[in-house]
Amino acid sequence: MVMKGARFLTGAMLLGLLVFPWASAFGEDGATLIITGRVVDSQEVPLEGASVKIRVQDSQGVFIDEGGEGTKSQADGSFLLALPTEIVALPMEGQGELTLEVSKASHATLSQTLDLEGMARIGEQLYLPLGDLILEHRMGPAFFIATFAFLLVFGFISFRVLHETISALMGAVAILGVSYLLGSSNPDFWIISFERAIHYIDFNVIFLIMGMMILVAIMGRTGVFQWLGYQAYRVTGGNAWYLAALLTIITAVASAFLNNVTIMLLMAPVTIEMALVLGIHPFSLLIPEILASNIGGAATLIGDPPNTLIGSYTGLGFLDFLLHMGPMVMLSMVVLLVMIRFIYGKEYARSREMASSTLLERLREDARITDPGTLRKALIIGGVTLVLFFLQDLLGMPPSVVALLGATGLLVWVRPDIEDMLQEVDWTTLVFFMGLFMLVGGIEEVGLIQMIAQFIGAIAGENLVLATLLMLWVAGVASSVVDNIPFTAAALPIAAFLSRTIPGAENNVIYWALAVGACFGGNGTVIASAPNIVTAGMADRAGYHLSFSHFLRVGVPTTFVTILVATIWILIRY
Amino acid sequence: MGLILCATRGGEASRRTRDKAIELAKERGDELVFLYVVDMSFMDKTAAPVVVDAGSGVERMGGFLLAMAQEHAREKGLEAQVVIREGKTREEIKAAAKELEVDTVVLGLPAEGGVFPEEGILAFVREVEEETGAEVFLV
Repeated sequence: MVMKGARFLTGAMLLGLLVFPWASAFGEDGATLIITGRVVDSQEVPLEGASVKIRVQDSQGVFIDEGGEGTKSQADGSFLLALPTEIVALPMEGQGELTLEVSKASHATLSQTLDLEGMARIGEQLYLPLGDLILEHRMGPAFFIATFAFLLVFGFISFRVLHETISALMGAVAILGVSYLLGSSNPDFWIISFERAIHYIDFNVIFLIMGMMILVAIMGRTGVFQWLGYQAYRVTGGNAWYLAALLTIITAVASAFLNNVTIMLLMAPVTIEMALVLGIHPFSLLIPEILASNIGGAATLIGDPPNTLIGSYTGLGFLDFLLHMGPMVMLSMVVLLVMIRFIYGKEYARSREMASSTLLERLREDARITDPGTLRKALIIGGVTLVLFFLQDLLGMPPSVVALLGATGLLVWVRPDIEDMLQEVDWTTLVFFMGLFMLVGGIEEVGLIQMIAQFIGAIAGENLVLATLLMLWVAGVASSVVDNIPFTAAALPIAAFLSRTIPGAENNVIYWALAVGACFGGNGTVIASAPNIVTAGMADRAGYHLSFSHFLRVGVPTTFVTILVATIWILIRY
Repeated sequence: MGLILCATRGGEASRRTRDKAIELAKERGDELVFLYVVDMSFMDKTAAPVVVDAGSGVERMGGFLLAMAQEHAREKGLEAQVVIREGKTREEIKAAAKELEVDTVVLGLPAEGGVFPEEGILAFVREVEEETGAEVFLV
């Protein structure tokens, strides 16, 4: 009896020790319960802007406090909610219940009874860490509207129905418009806020592209690319096959470091003239150049916009791209040279110099260096910029800063007039990227990207080889048909998901697969990539119509073989 | 002595057009002018960054093509003049025809490489005839 009594007293004391601190805290002035946690989606991606609140029910189940506005989760998904301890006393005393409610547009609301068991006391404060709170995506009106807008814009851009900049802007404005015009009163229509849309704009990409635009614009005005093309003609002595090979290599190397559209715009006219001088069909020189521009552009961070997007998203630098993509590009170039020899060998064999001295003189005149002074400065600054790109990781310098340093240095040295400076930048392209980023942000907010990522993840499972091959070939095929820039922008979060969840993907192989597929896929059809389109336009201006089917006959085999080469390399290397 | 205007680029289709223009000029004893239009409208459908003056390259290429046409005419015993204009192809052909007060305009029929979509060519021929008073030959 005494023992029983002692045990009872001990138990009561222990209970008192457990309860008393909370009991003593209840009602104390200034005492609060700090609730923390992290809001994520089903793929553990943090969700920003989720509303978190605590609703209080009495013992009859009636909500007596709706929690006010609660709090919002931060960019990393974390939140902190401070409650007066009087509220906490209710469930502790069996007189009510606390309900945790987490909600976000395009997501199913999470509502659960707040479990106070994990509560801890530190000093005067009570703390309750909740860990990760998972919100599932919900396919409501916002989802379908954002998806439709994206597909429409994708189609407009890919099939050249509308100017790309107008298309991208239209898409961005549509999702913002729906959000504010309809979503303000009905959360089911809320897609994305303006602030959140701006957050999705990758300004590293914008400024990197802007900086490189200026560099290539100034360099392009010197006539150096046309001169290089003509030098190839001189050096090869009019041998069409050697000329084709040299032009192809020049185009690939130039495209690795400078915008490949500009390279083709500058080289195409003089290439056509050289073909006419040699009496061969211009396509036998132009098409290899187009193919080389897309392959060469894959070698570096700055060669092709998909690489720039990938590099900025992942933090992979100039040297990373060169080391990982360079070998694939070189191998593919060897394959390309073999293929064009096979495809155009007979045409090259027909060549003979047909032009008069007048025309030859004209060709030489069209391909001369027009501004040697500027060229010298551009080469110096370009060289310094290149060195900085190589040192970018060591210096911790974003590639955009490198590009801006080079561009500004060149502008200051070459062209101090501000009006001229502004003319060097193609603002429509930059606006295109801004609109595209916002639009892709919209479909991320509504969960479309996550849905696709989960679907692909379900197919690939934990099979890194399968995931890599899927990314490579899907990107290659898709980029053959649709514009590779919006495709890459949309595919990046999917690649990120796969890289996070598949064991062994930390070596970034899935990103390399995306880069190869997106860049090499640009050789599939004449509409697949901007250099293809502008070169076809140039050829048309010379009376040579590059039809879809004609390009397909060369582009598809080339794309297939080069992606196959890349596949084999990736499987061996990674 | 009349004046013949021949709109030309390069390629097989333009070669036939040029040959017809030369033949006409020699038959009639007319002067011949080859016209090349620097039409950059193909750049409109891409947002690819265009930060260089691509038109200059096309203009130089056009000059080269016209020089080839001139040499070809010379080989056939005819001295031809050349004109380069910049703008939309159809508008510049009409403008050149009006400014030069040509008597005949020679155009290529749509073919692979033809400038005009087939359904538009007849309407364009009527426009040229009405606005310039020139006779139009379709080759």
